[in-house]
Amino acid sequence: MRRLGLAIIFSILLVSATEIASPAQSDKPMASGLRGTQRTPTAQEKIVQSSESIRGRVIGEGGIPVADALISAFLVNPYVSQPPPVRSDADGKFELTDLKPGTYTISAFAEGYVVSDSSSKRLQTGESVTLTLVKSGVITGKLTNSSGNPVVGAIVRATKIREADNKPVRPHTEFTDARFTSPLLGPFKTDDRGIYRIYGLAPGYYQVAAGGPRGMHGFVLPVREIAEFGLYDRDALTYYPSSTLDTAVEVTVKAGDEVANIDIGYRDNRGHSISGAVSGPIGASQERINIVLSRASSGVVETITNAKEGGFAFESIVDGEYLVTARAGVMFGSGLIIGVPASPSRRVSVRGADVTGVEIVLEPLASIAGRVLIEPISAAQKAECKATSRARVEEVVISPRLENRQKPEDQSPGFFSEYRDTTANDKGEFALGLLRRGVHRIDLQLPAENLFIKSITRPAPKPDGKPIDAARNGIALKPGDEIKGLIITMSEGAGGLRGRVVTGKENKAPSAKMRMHLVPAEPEAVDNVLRYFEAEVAADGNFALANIAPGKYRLVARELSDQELTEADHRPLAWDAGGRTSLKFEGEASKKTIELSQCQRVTDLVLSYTPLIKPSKRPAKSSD
Amino acid sequence: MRYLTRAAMSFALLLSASSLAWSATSAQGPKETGTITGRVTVDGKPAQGVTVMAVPLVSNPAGELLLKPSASLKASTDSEGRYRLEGVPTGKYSVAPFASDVVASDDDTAKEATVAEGATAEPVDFSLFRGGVITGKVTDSEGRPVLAAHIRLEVSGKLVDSASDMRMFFTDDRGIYRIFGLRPGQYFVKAGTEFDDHYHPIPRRIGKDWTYYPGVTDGAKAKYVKVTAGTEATGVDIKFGLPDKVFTASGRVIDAETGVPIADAWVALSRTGSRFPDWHSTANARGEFRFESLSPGAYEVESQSAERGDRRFYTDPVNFEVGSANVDKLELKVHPGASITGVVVVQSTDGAAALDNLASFGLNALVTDAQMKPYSSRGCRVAPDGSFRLGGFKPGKAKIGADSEGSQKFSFDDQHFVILRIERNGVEKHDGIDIQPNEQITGVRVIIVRANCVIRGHVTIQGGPLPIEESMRRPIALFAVARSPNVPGSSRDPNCLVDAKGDFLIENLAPGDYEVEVTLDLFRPSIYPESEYEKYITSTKQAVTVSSKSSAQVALVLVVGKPPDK
Repeated sequence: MRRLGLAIIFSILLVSATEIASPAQSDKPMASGLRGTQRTPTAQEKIVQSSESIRGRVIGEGGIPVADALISAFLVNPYVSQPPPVRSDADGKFELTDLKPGTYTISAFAEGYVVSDSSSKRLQTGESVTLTLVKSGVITGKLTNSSGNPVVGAIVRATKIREADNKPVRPHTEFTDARFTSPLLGPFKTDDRGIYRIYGLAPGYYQVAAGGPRGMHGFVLPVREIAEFGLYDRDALTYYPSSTLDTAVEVTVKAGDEVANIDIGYRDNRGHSISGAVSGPIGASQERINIVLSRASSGVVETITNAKEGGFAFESIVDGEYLVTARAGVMFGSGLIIGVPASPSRRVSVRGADVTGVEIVLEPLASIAGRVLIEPISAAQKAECKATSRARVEEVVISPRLENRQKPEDQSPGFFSEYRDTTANDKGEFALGLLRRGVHRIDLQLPAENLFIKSITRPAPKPDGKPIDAARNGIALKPGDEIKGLIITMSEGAGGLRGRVVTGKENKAPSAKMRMHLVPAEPEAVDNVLRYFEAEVAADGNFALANIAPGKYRLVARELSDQELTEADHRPLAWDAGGRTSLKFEGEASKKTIELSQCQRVTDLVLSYTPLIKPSKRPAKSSD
Repeated sequence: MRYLTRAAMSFALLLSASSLAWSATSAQGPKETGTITGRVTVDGKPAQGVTVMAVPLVSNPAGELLLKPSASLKASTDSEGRYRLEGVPTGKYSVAPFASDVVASDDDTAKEATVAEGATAEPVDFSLFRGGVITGKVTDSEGRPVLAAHIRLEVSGKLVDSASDMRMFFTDDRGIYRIFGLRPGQYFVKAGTEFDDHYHPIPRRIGKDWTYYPGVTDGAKAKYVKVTAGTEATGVDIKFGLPDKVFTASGRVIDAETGVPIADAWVALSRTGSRFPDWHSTANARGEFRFESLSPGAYEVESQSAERGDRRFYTDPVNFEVGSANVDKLELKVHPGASITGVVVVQSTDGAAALDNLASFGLNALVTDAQMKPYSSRGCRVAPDGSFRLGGFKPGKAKIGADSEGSQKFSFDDQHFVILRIERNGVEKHDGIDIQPNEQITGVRVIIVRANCVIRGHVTIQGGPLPIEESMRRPIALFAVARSPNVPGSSRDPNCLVDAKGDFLIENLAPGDYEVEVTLDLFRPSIYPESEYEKYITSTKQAVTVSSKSSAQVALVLVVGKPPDK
């Protein structure tokens, strides 16, 4: 009962916004689950007598206050909703009180608005925040068949294929778009006139499709719906206007817009099936395996099926390029169940015929455990610094980051990386679980401006050896790896640098999108990844870099390449030896250096930048 | 939340049933084909463009008839209302027209047809009539549209089933609903919204009780809407009344003896009579808690997880009424209660090394009162040396398990363990450990054993085919379950689904004696009303002893009797 029940809820919750198991479980201790990522609060934590608050404001477009928004606070570790959610008042203001000190993700939701990057922020107790909500949009139209009659009771879905900023779809939107396609409300369907209306859509670029197998719609339907053989179940999806996937026309939804007359001519065609076998070990805590079909071009999840008796099959798939990946259901904290990629993706091309024999090999997930240390500075050094509040090691947010996420294979299927973030306990111990194979970097969100990261090391392979620098090349994980003893050392005395990039005689902000880099000038630091810093230059030319290790730096302002402009996830240049070399050359050429001493804050640096003369030869655009 | 849970459970049933059905259809069908034809009329006139589907009825080795949706065939009717399905493999079919906006002449639309080689089956005709439509808008007391308000229709004292199209029974972002395919009749239309629950798609501060068209909560004052075939009843607008007044309840968690506030206790609030807490809050550093937006009614507040340091406490529940004012100065008194300390030991059965890391286990004790009502559940982690301490209990009977639901299984790293027995001072405590007020119980041993045994088996069905689960049109699912002899069965007993061939494999069993039988009701007690099937379907039982060295084999017989007359 228990196992099956979990699995089922998992299926439901795959894309559902109602991502919480029965509330009755919420105060109960966790049963068996993830080793490493769960943590019983220590006695010391429990007797912390102080409590803090987070204040904030919820606004909409143009800064208008949003009243009656629901604001929830999730502690980063353990990932639980700590205090009950609160509502914003008529001015959009809210206050979450009686919080345990720590790092929280604060998010707001209000009717008529969507979940977005700006509706959720991560901050520490005592800070205040402004959350900006984006209005939702509507797509509506009519579905007719070849003789012009309305098609009644067919499911119509809108799939976001790019974000409003033209970047690849960010995983959290799986949440957004699911809010109104929850099991509670059922799918969007055409009425007796063939009319459909899909609401609650986040701004972005969509493809609209009708019909198709029910599983296509990513959520579990009421029992009778699945049980009854559906009218359109054996059809492949028909994309707006009356197309296959390859020729589908995009629909642009702007915030608060209603896009009408998205009429679809139903094609009534059958697709093809993709089937194969699932093998390999299921790791601990991976309660159930689902198989996810996503688009090879974008990683957008197309449909999900259960693996049955070692096999799986997707039916009625239209021609196109796809990825097939296993996803494991995993229990989190007090009952959250989410999907974690649990196999390498297989690329599948459907071209006018069924595809069989796709082999999915499951891989157990890996983990990394270790300690975070804060090195205090000496009294003499301290004298140079103004008094700063002492940061606590528990406030550092530790996030694993898989390299090479630019490839859709590595993005799909949508996954909320936030759940993997953690914080250390009061002894500095932490554990990151649910990691896929591949090279991971450790991202750290530091709780105070005076901290910088000094080193990230793994224990020496031999007892008398030197620890391995885990920052330079990241941590390569094989399936099922359990890396222990990672030491993250931070130090006080960080510097900060704010300034402006200007160009031309009038000292205007540069027109191109740019990044500002700090490149260590000391020859011995050339391969110390932690001495490289970079930040985006804002449209007004301003930039800000914080948590900088004291030392001498060369300043490099770089225009973003075309690839960097559209990537979902920025990969710091310094991660590669080649990137470091090119930064070093650019730094030597720029001849601009700065030396930051202990705790030094530079706030008024002006860097004049001469735009590159772009080579006239444009690279031929690749056809894919 | 209620809905979600129910949906989840229904789906659980469905999955189990479907795996049976799907695997049953893997056999290759005959190659010979025939034809199915027929005519569809709507309101007596030929209906063009209606889809007719034929779904093969196949039988599995157990002799039941199953639908095989994946091999369905479909055709559209022409201007004469005629349809023709050609190249249909010989066999039995269930044929049905599909047009959501029309209604069949009788309740069961689907008809059976038999296709013989090269022949045309008897014509399968359908006479349908056009259903009616009710549409309108739901607004709040200030005239603003209400999104995702739930609509219910009552006709002749019965609720119209909304399961086939949930979305149709909710208002859209403009507050508009449109329900079609309705049989003629006099309908009462009511709207309501879910009560505040931030996991709901639309979190609302307060829910709305059912309000009938045109805007009354008293069903006796409701107006009916007349629906006739093929017509549309428009403007069936429902306006909610004034917003409900809501109140606040607040208080403190304090030490019963010293009066000192207890910080950080989870406080649970429920409506009186509700089985599970509806709201949670955490007491602040001064022990204060507060619940907002409560509508009038009776409530119960308590804290089951107050703690200070490694000490745990319980509180007595406090009952209160919310009437027409805020409730404050509630006092939740905290008692140190009883505790249980002991050790977890791994019993070695086959010389395998003992577990080196017991700290992966969580232990939980569920304490029930004299009426067996559970009221206190506390968990702890097992220390690496196997020792544990559970505390903060009221007097009663404590059952120790792996989790708050009393599971006896532990698993990690693909290793499975079960609790073999629990001893107190060397005496086995099978029914639980009695706890006296404030008793500090020591010397409890939780003996676990590696669960790596399996039972294989086969079920032979006798007496007739399995009944079809009506809502799913598939045979009911069968589970094989291994129960410990002389212990009342529970849904947590080791079990597995019986496949279409009648084979099963129960895994992760501890060595020992079991009684294996087939059951239909693993999930049923809490979700579905009493099953009729148990009255005429019975399974043999077989006693079996398993060890880690060998897998046991059982052969069961399921006897399907004559269904009682309805």
